[in-house]
Amino acid sequence: MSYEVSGPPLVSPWMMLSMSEARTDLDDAKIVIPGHSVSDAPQHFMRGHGTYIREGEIVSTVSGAVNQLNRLLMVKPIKQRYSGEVGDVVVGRVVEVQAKRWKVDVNSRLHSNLPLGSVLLPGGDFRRKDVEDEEKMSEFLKNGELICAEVQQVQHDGTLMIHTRNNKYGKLRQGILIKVPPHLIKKSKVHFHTLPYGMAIIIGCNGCVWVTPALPETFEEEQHVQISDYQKVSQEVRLAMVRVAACVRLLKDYSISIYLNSLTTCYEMSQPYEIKELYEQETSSRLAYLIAAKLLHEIQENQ
Amino acid sequence: MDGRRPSQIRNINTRLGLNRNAEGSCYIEHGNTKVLCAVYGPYEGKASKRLENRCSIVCQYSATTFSGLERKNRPRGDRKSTEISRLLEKAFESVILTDSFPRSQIDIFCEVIQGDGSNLAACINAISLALADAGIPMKGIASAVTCGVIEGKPIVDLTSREETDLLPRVTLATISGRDEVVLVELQNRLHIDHLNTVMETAKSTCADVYECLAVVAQQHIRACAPILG
Repeated sequence: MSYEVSGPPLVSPWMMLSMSEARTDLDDAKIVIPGHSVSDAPQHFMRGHGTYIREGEIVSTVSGAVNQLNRLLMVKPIKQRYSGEVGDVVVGRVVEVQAKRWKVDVNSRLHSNLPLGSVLLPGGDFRRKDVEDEEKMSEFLKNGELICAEVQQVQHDGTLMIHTRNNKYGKLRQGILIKVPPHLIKKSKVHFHTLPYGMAIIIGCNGCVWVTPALPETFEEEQHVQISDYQKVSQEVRLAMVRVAACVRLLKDYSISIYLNSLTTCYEMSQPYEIKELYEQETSSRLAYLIAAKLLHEIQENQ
Repeated sequence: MDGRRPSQIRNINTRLGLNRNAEGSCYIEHGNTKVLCAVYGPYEGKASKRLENRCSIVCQYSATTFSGLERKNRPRGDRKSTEISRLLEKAFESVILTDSFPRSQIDIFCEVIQGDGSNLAACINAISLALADAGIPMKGIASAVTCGVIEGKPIVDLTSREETDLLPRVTLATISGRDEVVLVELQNRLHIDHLNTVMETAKSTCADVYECLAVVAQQHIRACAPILG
C-alpha cells in the first residue's frame, strides 16, 4: 500500500470556487457576522430571528445573510446545525428505546422522539398498539439502527416529533450513509429518488444522504415473507452506489448544494474517471469547477 | 523585544473551517503562537451537564507537549490548563446567547500547537471565530489581547520571552471591540497607577484585533454559502 503525502492546499477547495466569478450571486453587504449592525433605525423595523437590539441599533447575533420581509429584519444563518421543519424528510439513528417511544439522533440539537403510535407496524394500517407491542419495541427497532422518517411537529424547545406512518419511511437496511453539512441540502418536493443507474437515494434534510440499492417501498412486498433478510446486490449496482457516494462527498467538499440535478450532473461528468480518482485533489477540484459552472449556466438559461 | 512598537500587535493569520467533522473550527496564528480550535454542537450532551433553561458550555484547553519552552509531560489536565479552561468557559457563557438552546451542550476544544506568549488571548480569538463559523448566536465576536507594563509604559501582545520576566500582564477580552468586557486576567502585581493606562491600551488593541477577525469571519461566511443554495 502506498501513501501520498501532501501538505494542505494553499487555497482551500471551497475558497477556490468561491473566488471565481461563480459567486456574483452574493452581495457582500448582506453578509453579517455576530455583532454587526443590521439597521440603525429600530423604530422603522421589527427585529426578527438572529438579531437583538443594542444601543438603538438592530444587531445580528449569527453569521449569515440578512433577509427583509416588509418591515421584519432577520438574519438567516448560512451554516448551522440542523433545525427541523415540519414535513422534512430525515435520516437518523435510533439511540435509545424508552417506554412507548424511541429516541432518534437526527443530527439536530436534541434527540427527536419517535412515539410508538406513529410507526407503521407490520400487518394492518390501523391496528391498536397494545402492551404486547410495547414489549416488542426493541424487536422492531433496535439501538443503532437507521431509520428514515418525516418531521411531524417541532416542539417549543426544539425537540422534533417524527413519524414513519407511510410505506416510504421506516427502517433502512442496505446502503451507504454519507453525512454532509445540512446547509448544503437543497429542499425540494421529493427527497426519494430512484436513479437510472439501478439504485436509489434518499436525501435527508438533516444532512444524511442514504445511498441504497432500492427504496424501502419497492422491496416492501418481499419483506412480508422475511423481514431481516439481506439481498444480494450485483457488482454493477454496487459500483454505481459507490460512485454516487463519491459524488456526494465531492459536492460536499466543494460546497455545492446537493439535489437531484447536481448529483446526476456530477455522476455523468465523473464517468471518464475511475471512482478512486474522484478523491484526488487534482481531479476533484477540476471536476467541481466544471460542475459548478455547468449548474450556474443552467440556472441562468432558465431565467 | 522583537522589533515591534509598544502598541503594535504581531501578524495575525487565520484559516477557518478546517475541521470537517466539527460544526466550526479555526486555526489562528499570532506571530509564532499557533492555536487550533474546534466547536461541536449544540447537541444533546450528558444528562449530568444538562441545564433546563440554557445550554451548557464545556471547554477544554490543552497545549501540545512541544508547545512551550520546556517539554511538558502532561498536555492537559494539569492545574494551569484546567484554570484556563474554566476561564474560557465563563467568558464564553457571557458571549454566547445560551438561552436559545435549552438542554443542550456546546463543546469547545482548544489546542495550543506552539505557545509563544499570549496563549489565552489567542485561544479566545480562535474560539470566537470557530463559534462564528458554527453559526452559534452570540452577542458579538470576542477579541482578546495580553498587555504588559515595562517601566510604566504599556506594551501589547507579549511574546514568551517577554512573559518570562516578572512583569505585570493583563489579558482583556471585549465583545465586538466595544466597552463590554468578558474576561480580565492579571498575572503578577500591577501598580494601581498603571491600571488605567493598561486597560485603555488593552481595550483599544482589542478593537484593532476585532477588526482583523471581523474581516476574516465575513469573508469565510461568504465563501461558505453553498453554490446554488
